[in-house]
Amino acid sequence: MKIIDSIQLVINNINEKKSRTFLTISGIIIGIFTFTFFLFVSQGLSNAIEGQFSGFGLNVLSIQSANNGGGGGPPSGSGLTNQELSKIQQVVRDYKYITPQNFYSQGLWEYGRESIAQVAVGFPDEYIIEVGEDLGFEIEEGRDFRPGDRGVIVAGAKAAQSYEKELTVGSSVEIDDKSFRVIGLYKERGDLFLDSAFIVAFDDISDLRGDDTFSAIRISFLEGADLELMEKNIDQRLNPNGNEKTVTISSPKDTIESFNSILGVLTLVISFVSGIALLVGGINVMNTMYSNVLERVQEISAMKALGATNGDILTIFLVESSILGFFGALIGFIGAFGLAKGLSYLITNFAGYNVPINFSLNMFLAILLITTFFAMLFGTYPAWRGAKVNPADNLRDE
Amino acid sequence: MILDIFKLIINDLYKRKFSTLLTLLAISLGILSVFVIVLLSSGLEESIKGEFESFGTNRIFITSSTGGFQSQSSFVGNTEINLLENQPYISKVYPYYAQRVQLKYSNEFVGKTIQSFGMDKTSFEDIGLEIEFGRYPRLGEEGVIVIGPEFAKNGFDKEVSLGSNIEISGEKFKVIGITKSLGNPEDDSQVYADIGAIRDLFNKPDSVSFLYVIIDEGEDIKIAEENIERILTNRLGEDTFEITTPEQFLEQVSSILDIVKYTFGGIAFVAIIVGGLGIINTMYVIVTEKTKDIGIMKSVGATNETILIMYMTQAGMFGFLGAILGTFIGYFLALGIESIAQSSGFAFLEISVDFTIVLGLLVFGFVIGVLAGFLPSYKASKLTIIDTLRK
Repeated sequence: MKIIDSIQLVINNINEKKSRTFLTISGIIIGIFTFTFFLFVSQGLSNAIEGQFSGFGLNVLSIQSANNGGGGGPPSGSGLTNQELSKIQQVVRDYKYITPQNFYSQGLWEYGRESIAQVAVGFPDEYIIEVGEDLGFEIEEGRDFRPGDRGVIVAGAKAAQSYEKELTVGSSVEIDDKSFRVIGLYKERGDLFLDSAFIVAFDDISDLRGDDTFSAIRISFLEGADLELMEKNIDQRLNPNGNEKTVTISSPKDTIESFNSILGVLTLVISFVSGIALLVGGINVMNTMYSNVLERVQEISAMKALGATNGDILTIFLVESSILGFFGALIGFIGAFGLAKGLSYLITNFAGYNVPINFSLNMFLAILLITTFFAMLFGTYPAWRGAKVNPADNLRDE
Repeated sequence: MILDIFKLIINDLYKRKFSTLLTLLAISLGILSVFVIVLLSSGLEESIKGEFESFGTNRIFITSSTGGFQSQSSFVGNTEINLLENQPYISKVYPYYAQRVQLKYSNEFVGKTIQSFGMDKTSFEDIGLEIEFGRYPRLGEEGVIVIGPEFAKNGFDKEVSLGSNIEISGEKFKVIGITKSLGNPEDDSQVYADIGAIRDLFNKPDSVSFLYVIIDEGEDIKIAEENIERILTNRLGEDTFEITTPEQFLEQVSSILDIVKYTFGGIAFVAIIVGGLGIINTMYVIVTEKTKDIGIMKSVGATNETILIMYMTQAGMFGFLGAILGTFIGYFLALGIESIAQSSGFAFLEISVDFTIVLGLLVFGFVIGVLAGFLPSYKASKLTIIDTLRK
């Protein structure tokens, strides 16, 4: 018997039992739909996180003093000097620029009657233009930061909106009895950090903090630079005492990786829980196939009497259960992809967050293949029962 | 009559053992997952609540508005601390200072955030810590630290023993005490030092991370919170500090756990629906097989209603029995997870069964079954004797 014949036979059988087949496939569809949908959600989140951080430059290393206060929150420390800067310059290559960077997040910025904590970020005059281009700031109103500017703020979109009465160009903001004038507002970038920051002069931050050291060193690399090697070089040069760190080195890639590993664990747990629905779907396949076999004992006997082998019968039932799995996976996958894509579209257009969902052929084929195999596995016992039918016994029973 | 129906149903189920078993298995898996998720998340929630209550709810934490519990700033000074301590409803104010440091022990370096405060027996007891091995430090005693049991064991490659020295930024500190386990690895991995010593070492005489305020027993914590808020606002200005109470912590934890519970519970619910589809399918098969019997029953006077009720009851039984199986196995599964969690350091996870949940799931299983059985039973009830004869 050819496989084509068995498929023909199976299609006839399925046609006869439409509602049963429909219900069984529905189970698989729902299982695959849930499973795949969350895979897409996880993929979208991972893409979105990468998008958020790439705003700050992906090909970047950031070096901070190891003795900063621990814990989360925006970096605010100090403690780096020109000594570290020149040591770094000795050991890295393939870079566009290396610049000191100042953060200040301790103070309250007073505007109108409100005092709000803001993160101030500053770069030295000689690098400000380069860094600005690198970060892709766009001005919404007023003008961008220029070398030599002192006592002024260019505010990120969310930072400007954080006051009840929004900041505008010309607003005057006070901190520690010093007055800063807002000269420009940036367009919203949709990232975590810079949208909520004030860009102020590097020296102004040093004055606010009251020391000459700086918070961080930013190295922007050329395309194709070996960041891992560079990180190792810096580590060896600046942390010579074995594990006793004087500086910590971080890159947006590290942050993305740590986010992804948390997301990975979450996805694993969700996949496991939604996998249960799939398992239940598999049990349904087994149940349906078992009923099919019982109902077709006569037919099987007749086929056997006409010379069908056990293998032929086995094949017929295995093909039938595989087909249930195949179509269940196909429809479930398409549905999940459609929903994920639609949600991503809605979120992008109405909430302003970019959550890209991409079709992956490998994932599609893997899910199709695995589910088909999985359904076949659940069909094995009923198929074996079918193949074992003895025409003589059956005749005697009648 | 009802008894007869039950007999018929049980006979049916028994005759189709394999199919019945599969159908039950399918529905019970869904119920089981929902049950385990609910057990674990509410177990966690209850245990965390219990832990907070054992610490005492009469505490208030004050941080600067710009940083969390590990920030460093001088948002309050000694004047404010004294002022607070003089309030009649406040029994004690401990300034806490967290500092990220490099610890060195037998040539190994480890980065760690040290918690420092005015260490002595009273303060340890006040913040809910007990020394299990070694002794309590004396107030202001320099050059000594206290570590958590988990840190002693796994903080460094080599286990830290009582009396050994750990270096912080080149200065030697003697380990004089190891605290009693609090039941979770995070809390048990802390390192405690004297606030004066750490401030001197890092030359930050006025730095504070947060204030740990203990309110007198019997005082209303809400009123105390309002009073403190007023006093500090007067001294420091608005929005320069933030007050957190254990209740607020609890609410945050609960709301996170609720999200987890509903998300995972929702996903597991999908499995119940798929199990329901299985019941529909099985019922169709049963009804088809029983066409002849239905004809006979009808010819001796069974009404449409009797047939409908009979098959819907049978479908309901699938759901009900599945739920019994699911909750039963689920309970033991949750116990297993609990003992695994406890042996890996999370001693505070305690499973307790709320019988309303079990009852709810049993009823729910029955309802799902009845709903799933409706269409096949309806089809069966509409069969005429003529139909059944034609077969």
